[in-house]
Amino acid sequence: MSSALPNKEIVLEPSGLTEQILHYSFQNSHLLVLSINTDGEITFCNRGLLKSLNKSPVQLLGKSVFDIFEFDIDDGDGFFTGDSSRSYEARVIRQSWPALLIRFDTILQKSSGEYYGLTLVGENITEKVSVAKALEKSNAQLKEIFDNSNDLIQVFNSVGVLTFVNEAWKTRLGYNDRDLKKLRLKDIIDPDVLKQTGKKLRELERGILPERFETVLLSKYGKKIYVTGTVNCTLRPNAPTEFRAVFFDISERIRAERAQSLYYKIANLTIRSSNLESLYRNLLNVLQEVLDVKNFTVALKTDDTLEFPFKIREDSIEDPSSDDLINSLLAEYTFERDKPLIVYDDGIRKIAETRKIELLGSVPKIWMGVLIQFEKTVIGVISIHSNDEQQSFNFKDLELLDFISSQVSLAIERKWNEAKINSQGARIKAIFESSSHQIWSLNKNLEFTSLNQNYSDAINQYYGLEPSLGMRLDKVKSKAFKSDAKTNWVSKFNRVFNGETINFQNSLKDLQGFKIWRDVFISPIFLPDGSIEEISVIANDITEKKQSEVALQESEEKFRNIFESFQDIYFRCDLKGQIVMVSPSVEEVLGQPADSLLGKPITDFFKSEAYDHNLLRRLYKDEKISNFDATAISASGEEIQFLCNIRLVNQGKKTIGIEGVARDITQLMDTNNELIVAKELAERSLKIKERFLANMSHEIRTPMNGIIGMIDLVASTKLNKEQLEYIKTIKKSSETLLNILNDILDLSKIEAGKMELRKEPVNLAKSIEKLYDLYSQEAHRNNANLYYHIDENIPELAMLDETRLLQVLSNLTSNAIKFSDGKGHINISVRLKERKRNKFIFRAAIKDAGIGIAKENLQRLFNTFSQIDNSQKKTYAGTGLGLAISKELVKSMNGDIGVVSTPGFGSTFWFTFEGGVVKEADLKAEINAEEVAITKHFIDHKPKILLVDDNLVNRKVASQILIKAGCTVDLVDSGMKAINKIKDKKYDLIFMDIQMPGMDGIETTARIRALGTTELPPIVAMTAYSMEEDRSRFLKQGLDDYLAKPIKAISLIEKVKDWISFEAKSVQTEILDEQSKDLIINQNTLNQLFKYGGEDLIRSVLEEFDEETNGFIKECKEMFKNNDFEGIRSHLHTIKGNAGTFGIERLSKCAEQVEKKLKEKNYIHVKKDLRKVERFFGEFQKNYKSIINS
Amino acid sequence: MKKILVAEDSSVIQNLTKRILGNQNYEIEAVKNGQQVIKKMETKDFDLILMDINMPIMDGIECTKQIRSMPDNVKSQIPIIAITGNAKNYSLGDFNKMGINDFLPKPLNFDSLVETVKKYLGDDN
Repeated sequence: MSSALPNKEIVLEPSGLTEQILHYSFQNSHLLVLSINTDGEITFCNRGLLKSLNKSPVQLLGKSVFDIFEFDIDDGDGFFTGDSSRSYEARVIRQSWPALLIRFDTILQKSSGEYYGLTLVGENITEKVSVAKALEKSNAQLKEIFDNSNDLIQVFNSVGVLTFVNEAWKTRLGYNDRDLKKLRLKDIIDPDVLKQTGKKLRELERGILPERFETVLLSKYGKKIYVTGTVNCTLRPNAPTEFRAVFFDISERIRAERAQSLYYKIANLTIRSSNLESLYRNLLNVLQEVLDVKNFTVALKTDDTLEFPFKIREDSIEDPSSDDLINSLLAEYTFERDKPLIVYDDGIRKIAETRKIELLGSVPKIWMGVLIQFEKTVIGVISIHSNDEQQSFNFKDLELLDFISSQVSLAIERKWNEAKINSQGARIKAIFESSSHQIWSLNKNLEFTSLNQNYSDAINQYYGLEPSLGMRLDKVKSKAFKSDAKTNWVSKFNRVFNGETINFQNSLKDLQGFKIWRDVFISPIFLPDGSIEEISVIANDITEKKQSEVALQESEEKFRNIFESFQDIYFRCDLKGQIVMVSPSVEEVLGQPADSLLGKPITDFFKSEAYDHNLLRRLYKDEKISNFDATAISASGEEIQFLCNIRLVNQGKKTIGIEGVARDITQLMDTNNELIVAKELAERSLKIKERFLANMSHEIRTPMNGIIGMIDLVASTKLNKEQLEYIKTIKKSSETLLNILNDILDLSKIEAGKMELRKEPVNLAKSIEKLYDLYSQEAHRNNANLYYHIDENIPELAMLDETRLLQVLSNLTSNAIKFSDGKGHINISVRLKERKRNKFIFRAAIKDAGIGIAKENLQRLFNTFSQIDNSQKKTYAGTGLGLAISKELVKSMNGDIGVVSTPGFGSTFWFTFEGGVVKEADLKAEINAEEVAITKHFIDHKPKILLVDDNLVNRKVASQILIKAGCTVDLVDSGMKAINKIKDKKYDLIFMDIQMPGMDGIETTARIRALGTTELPPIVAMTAYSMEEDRSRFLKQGLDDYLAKPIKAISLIEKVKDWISFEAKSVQTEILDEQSKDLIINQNTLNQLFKYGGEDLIRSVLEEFDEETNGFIKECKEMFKNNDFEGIRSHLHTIKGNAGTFGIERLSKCAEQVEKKLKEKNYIHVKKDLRKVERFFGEFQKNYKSIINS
Repeated sequence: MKKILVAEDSSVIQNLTKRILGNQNYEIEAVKNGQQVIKKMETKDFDLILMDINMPIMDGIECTKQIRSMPDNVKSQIPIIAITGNAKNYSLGDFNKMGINDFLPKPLNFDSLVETVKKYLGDDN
């Protein structure tokens, strides 16, 4: 602040004049002036000063100035330092309020180079100071106002440093004081508007003042804050320009404006989006234009559970599962509340707490959700949330979100309606397409305007062309579409174009020449103004109906023809019994013309013992009665026998009459009576034959038993070679005879219906093994190899009659061997054909590579007593009953039997049979039967045996064999005698014949058991072959074991050895048995191996055996050269054991024989023996590969 | 897993027993003669020996004798089942006297092979 007067050094002469002038000039000035001398005494004061101090001149003149004023200097010396530029401030001492403050400028007075005084020219500055103070105070108040203001105030300079911001600014932008130090302008301006803002600021510097200054600030969290306001600047030389900005937050307004346009956009989206998914995404995109939405969720309620069809998370979420949990919790909460929800982090925690849900991890700062409603029902929730800050959204946004949700609802509704419309359209289309009718429409030019597929197909079929829209019907070119037909159609169309609706039946011949009938409706299509631009045609193919009409006509005609030429009498009468119709044939039978009978009661001439009320009741109940006898009286009075069928004639549900056919059976009856007599005769003779056969067989068998038994005995005596040959022949013949007898017996039994199956749990695989054991050697003797294959699906057990099954299998197998003509393989296979609830159906096949059977012979094959080549010489033994028996047996097992054959290539006989599923009860019964275990007796004497048989020959045979074997035998011929014997004597074993006159074996056994004798010997039943199936019955009835007749030496002795431990003397019968029992490879042995490792194991051990044995044989040959017989023996020993282990029987046997020779040091023919071993080995090699490969 | 040592001259029988008993979950090792049996037993303990009688270098009878006189009680008490092609010449009593617990005649029956082994080693493998 500059002083009112410039401080001057005035040189005043102390003449007094100049001083006086000065004083005078100041006297009336408003300035406060006083002069002092160098001692500080006041020498002058003007009026102004006196007035201001409220003093008189006396009170001041001569006084020290320092007593009156307090200067801002230490002492008065300073006044005369020669500094003329100084001014001083002084306060009046002891002056009352308001204190007077004066600023003085000085005028130094100098005379002759000496200062002599000083004049102080002052100005009252008391007021100025107080104003300045007030100003200072108001500045502080202003700052407070700034800070309390909602306006955002910031002061910054052109370098970008923020020098001041108010509290509101800090709060809004989220920065604290520490942040501010580092903060630069560019940090707080939205990059999008930074350039533009800079430009505005530079303009401001140049003095161009904008009307409004608008920009976008950026909060610490990156949130945009739209502001408008004023900015002014202070230009400072050599310093950056300072800007002062006062902004007003207009984000809300901007948001609202944006929202406005947003709403349009959203509404548009709803219409544009093709599906909900893309709608959600588009909605989110739009939403993101106005809101900083990073998390957007759509939840829809389906079947009481919330599902989330749409979910966007642009935040990096630490724990998605926690995020999901919170979202579904809040969505569910909103859903239940049925109100939009806006909730902050603490609120979310509270909701979770009340719902007893533990929230791990972070919680959104703010979550906002609105309801989606559809047809007044809440169906879901749309939500957004922010993990950054609570201010991310506000209630306005809730509105926006709510609008979005309403649009989503609309979209859902629209989609739903679209679906509805589509389905309706589809329905109409379906009707148009799906009916069997042909539908099309034509315009006035006769061009197709619509047509359905049926029509298109039909036209294609009729005329061989595809109709298409726009095509003219009258221009259709086809052979089948004749011009007169065209004209006909066109004239019909014209009638319809004139407003008529017509219906007609139309026939045409299609390209194939088939006649087609159509029922056609043509109707005009009226437009609202009543005009007709198009007509519609609906046609239905009625060809079939037409055909049946024609057929009906034809059949009526046919019926009439039949009726007129009927041999039997057809009649019809009404419910009263009056004849309304009768066939002309009646005249021939009864001698009365048909016409004459009409209207007469039928009972007049039809007499039936059965024709009474009873008959009518039955008729009404069953609606028809067949084959009852009736008698009619002819015109000539003759009684004629009729066989009648009558039935009710119904029309709809009503019975309108009775019709019937009567046949004259007078002659037939006669013939029939004759036939009955003949049949009875025939049957009687057949039965006689059967009984004869059965009896004869039985009768013949008894002596046969004797013969066979005796043959064994003869063979045990010393015989020469010739005798032995004869005996062998007798034995073979007798066995054949016995087989024939057994076959005949079986057949007669089957035919008499006496064959019953005895089913037991049977292991089918074991049965096939048995079959193999029975026939493998026989096959081998016939130079054929037997193989079998059992399907893996075969159940372990099935209820079967094993005896009968084996009988069929044996028949077919032995046939196959017989007819395989000494070549090739015979394959037996069994597989499971079908598994039903409680039964299995098996299929067995026996395939040979033999001579085969010609086609014409196949039919006769299964007939009784037929063997194919009976015309040729009989090379094949057998009765030819085997197949007939098999057929019957298979039939009894509910199966079929058949054969497929190619002459020269072999035959396959197959049959099916049924086996029950084994139940637990069956198994128990089986176990009981098995429990009949043999306990061997140890004795120290010759076995004492009682033989009970009524037949002398049998007794003789059995006893001779037993005696020869070293037993003592007692013989009795009846049960009674047997009982008596047992009372007297102790036996080791009893053989008991079952079929004895009087007391049979079973009863005898029962009585013996009833004796209560201790240590009762085992009782073995002897039964004929035919009783074999009764074995288990015998066992149940107290017998311990059984032996089949005819008695063979070996089996009898073996049976004794089974029960009694004794060394039987050898009975030489083996010579009668066929040699060469051994097989190349016994498949049963391999089968055993199969269960331990399957085919793999078999293959690998056989291959290894092949390799090793090959080596051994080579080594043996080498050793032979060196005479190392012990080495050879050792190798043969190994070969013997190994071959035996794998069922390579012939090789094993041969190795054994040679080993034995070598062991006995018999070294002759070693080379030849080795060659034999090699040959059997070669045989094995050839054979095993085919086994492996099969 | 129980361990079985098979002493058998013939590789066919070696492999057969290996595969059948291997399938029954036994661990099988095989050697070709008695001497190899003794050597094998020095380094490893077995639960059972299937011993062919007729072997070169050291036969099954001599081998059994040596095993039974081993100082280690566990080794000397090992069950030995003989496999022999000369079963007709011996009874079980004869074998027992030689220190052999049981025997399987050749031709080998696969069922009795498995049954006999199980009799000594149990079925709980």
